[in-house]
Amino acid sequence: MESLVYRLSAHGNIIAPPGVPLHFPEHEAIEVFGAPEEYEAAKRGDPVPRFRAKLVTDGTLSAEEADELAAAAREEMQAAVEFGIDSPFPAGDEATRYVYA
Amino acid sequence: MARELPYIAAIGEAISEEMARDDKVLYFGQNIATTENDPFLQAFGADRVRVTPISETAEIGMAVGAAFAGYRPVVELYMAEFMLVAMDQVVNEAPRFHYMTGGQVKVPIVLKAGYGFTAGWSGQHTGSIYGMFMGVPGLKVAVPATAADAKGLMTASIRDDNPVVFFHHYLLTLEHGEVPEGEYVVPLGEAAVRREGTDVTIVAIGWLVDKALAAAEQLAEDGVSAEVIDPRTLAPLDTATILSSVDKTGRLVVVDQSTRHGSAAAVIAAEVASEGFGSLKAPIALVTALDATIPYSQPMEEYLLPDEGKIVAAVQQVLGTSPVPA
Amino acid sequence: MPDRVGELAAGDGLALLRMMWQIRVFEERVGELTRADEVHGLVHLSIGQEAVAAGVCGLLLDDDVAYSGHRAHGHAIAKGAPPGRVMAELMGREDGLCRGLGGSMHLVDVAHGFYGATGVVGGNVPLALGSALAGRLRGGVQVAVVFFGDGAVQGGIFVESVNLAALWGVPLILVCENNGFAEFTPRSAHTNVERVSDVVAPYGVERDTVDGNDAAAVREAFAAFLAAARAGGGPMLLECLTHRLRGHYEGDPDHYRALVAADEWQELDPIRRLERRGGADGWLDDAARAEIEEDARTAIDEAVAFARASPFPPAALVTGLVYAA
Repeated sequence: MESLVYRLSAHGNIIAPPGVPLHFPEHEAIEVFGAPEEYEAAKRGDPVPRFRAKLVTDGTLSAEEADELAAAAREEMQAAVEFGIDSPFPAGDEATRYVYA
Repeated sequence: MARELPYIAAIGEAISEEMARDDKVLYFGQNIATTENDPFLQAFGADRVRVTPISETAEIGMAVGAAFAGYRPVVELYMAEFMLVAMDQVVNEAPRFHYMTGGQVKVPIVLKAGYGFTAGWSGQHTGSIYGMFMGVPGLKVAVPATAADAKGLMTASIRDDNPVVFFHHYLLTLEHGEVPEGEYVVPLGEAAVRREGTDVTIVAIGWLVDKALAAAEQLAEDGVSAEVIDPRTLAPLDTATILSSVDKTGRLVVVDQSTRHGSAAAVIAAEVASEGFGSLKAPIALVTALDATIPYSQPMEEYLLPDEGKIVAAVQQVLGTSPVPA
Repeated sequence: MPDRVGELAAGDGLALLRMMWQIRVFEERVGELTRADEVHGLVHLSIGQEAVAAGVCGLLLDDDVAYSGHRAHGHAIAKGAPPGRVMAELMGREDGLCRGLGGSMHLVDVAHGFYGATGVVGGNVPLALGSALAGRLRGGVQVAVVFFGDGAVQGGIFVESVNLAALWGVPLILVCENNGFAEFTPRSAHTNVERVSDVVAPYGVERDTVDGNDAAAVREAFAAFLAAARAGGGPMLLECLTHRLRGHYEGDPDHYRALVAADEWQELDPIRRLERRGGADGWLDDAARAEIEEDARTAIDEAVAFARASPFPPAALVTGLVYAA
C-alpha cells in the first residue's frame, strides 16, 4: 500500500561537535532546496488539524470534545516524558547482558 | 602554507583537488549533489558527480566496472555498516580482480565510509568494523586521526591503483586541525609517531589517538614517558614502526574502539607477539570495546568503550604499577 | 515459440556455425579432460547453449565489454579469447589468460574485452553497469553486455543494477539465458514471474524474447539492440529461451552420447538446427558441414596441445599480484 505523504519534520538532527547540543535544523525544503512556499503549503495540508476540522464539521465530534481529545493527548505525552525522565539510567554493565540469548 | 580546517572539510578538499587534477576521478553516492548549487556538481558536472539511489551493491559494483575502464571512482557510503549489504562487491569482487586476472586489470576505487559514531547513534550506525577488512588480500584500509591526515590519506587513496576503504571517524567530523594547502599526500602504509617516549608504546586507532595522547599527558605527571603511535593505515600495516618502538620501550598497549576479536588491536598484538617477542618485558595489553553492540543509552555506551582512564590503567598494568585496590 | 524467419547471409551463417562448432568441441574436450583431472576443480559446461554466445558475441568488437556467469567458456571464446589460452587457464598454466590465477570461473581477456566469468551468480551485473557507464562517459559507441542465467534474476543485485542502468540510460545489454532451471530446480520453484523480461518491465527497459537455440534469431534480435545502444540507447534485455542438455555428462561419457543421439536433442540442438537451415537456404552442403566440424576439432586439438606444453606458473606469482604496484 503506497501512501503519499509530506514529512513536516526535518530529516533528522545534525552532527555537532561534542558538547554542542544536537538540534533539529529547518526542513530541507527551506534549508537545502530553497522552496519555503512548498513547505508552507505542506503545513496547510497538516493532516491533524484537517481531520479535526472534518470530524467537527461532520458532527462526529463537537468542538469541545475535539479540544478535550487534544488536551488528553498532551497530558498523556507529558506523562510519557516525565516517565522517561524519572526512569533511572541503566548501570553501565547492562551493556553486555543481551549479547547472546 | 597551512590553515585550520575541520576534518570533514579536509577530506572534501582532497576529493575536490584530485577531481580537478585528474578528470578520471568520479564521485558518486547517496545524497551527494542534491541541488544544482552543490559545489562538486558546479565544479565537475553531472557526468562525474552523480547521486545514486539507496543501492550500495550496485554503487560499489559499478565503481569496479568503471575502474576497469580507467576511471577512479570515489563512492560516498556515509556509514561503514552500509558496506555490509554489499560485502560481495567489497571483499569478493573489488580486491580480487587484479590478482585473479593475472594482473590484467586494476581497481582504483575509494570507498569513503564514516564509522564509530557513538554518541547515541546506536547499534547499527556505531560500529568500528575495519577489522573485517584488514585481512582481505588486495584491499587497503586507511584510518586518519587528524584533519591533515584525512586530506593526505584521501589523496593517496584516490591515487592508489588498488581498492581502498577509507574510514573516517564521525566524532572527528568537526575537529579542526592544520591542513596544508594544495597538493598534500600522506602515503598509505606509514604509521606516525605522535608523541615520543621511552617507557611504554601506546598504539591507538582513529579517534582514540587523542585519548591516548591525553592519557600520555596524565602519565607524564606520574613520571611515565609514553610513546604514542598512530598507524594511519591498517592495511598494509606499518609493523616496522611499531616493532621498532616496542624494541625501545619493551611494553605495548593497543587501544581500539572495535570489539576485541574483530579489532585491529588483535592483529597488531599478534604481530608484535610473534615478531617482537624478544623486546617485550610484559604481556601486551589490549584496550578495546567490550564484546557487545554499541548500546543507545549513554552510561552503557561509556561503559563499553575505551577511554582515557582505561588506557592509563592498562599502562599501569604493563608497568606493574597498578594501584592496589582499597 | 514461433520461428523468426529472418535474413541470414551465407557468410554470417557460416561464421556462426564455425564458432558454435568450436565451442561445442572445446566443451566436449574439457569434459574429457576434467575426468582425467587434467582440468582440475569446479567447471561448468555450456553444451547446448552455443547459439547465444555465438549470436551475440559475433557482433561485438574487441572494444565492447562482455561479462558472463560461471558457465563462461563459450562466451569467452566467442568474444575472441584464443581457445589455447582458455584451455591453458583451465589447466592452470602460465600461458593461461590469467596465468593460472583465475581458472574456469574467472576467465578474463582484457585484450578482447571479456571482463569475465564470475563465481558469484549475478555478482558482475553491477560491474557491467560500471563498464556501460564508462562507455557513456567516454563518448563513442562502446557497449557493455552481461550474460546470466534466469537464476540470477531473483537476486536483489540484479534489480538494483537494472534500476540504475535504466535511470541513467547507459548502453548496457542484458542477455538472459533462460533454460527454465537454476542449478537443479525449476524456475517455478524460484519465482511467480515466468518470463525474465517481465521482471524488468517496470523499469522501462526495452526487452525482447527469442528462441535461444536459434542462432540466427539470436543474432538478429541482438543486432537490433546493439544498433540502438550504439546510437545512445540502453539498457535493454534480451531473453533467450534455451534448453540445457540435462544429465551429468561431465562425469559419464556413455550417458552423454546417449543423450546427444536422442531424437529429441537432435530437434533442439542449436548446431543441428543451424545446419538444417544452412542446407535449406543453400549455403551448407554435407562436405562443407564436415569440413567445419573437422576444422573445429583440429583447432581444439591445437589448443589442448598448446595448453599441455605450457608450464605451471612459478609459486612466487602467488604473492606478487596481491596489490597493483
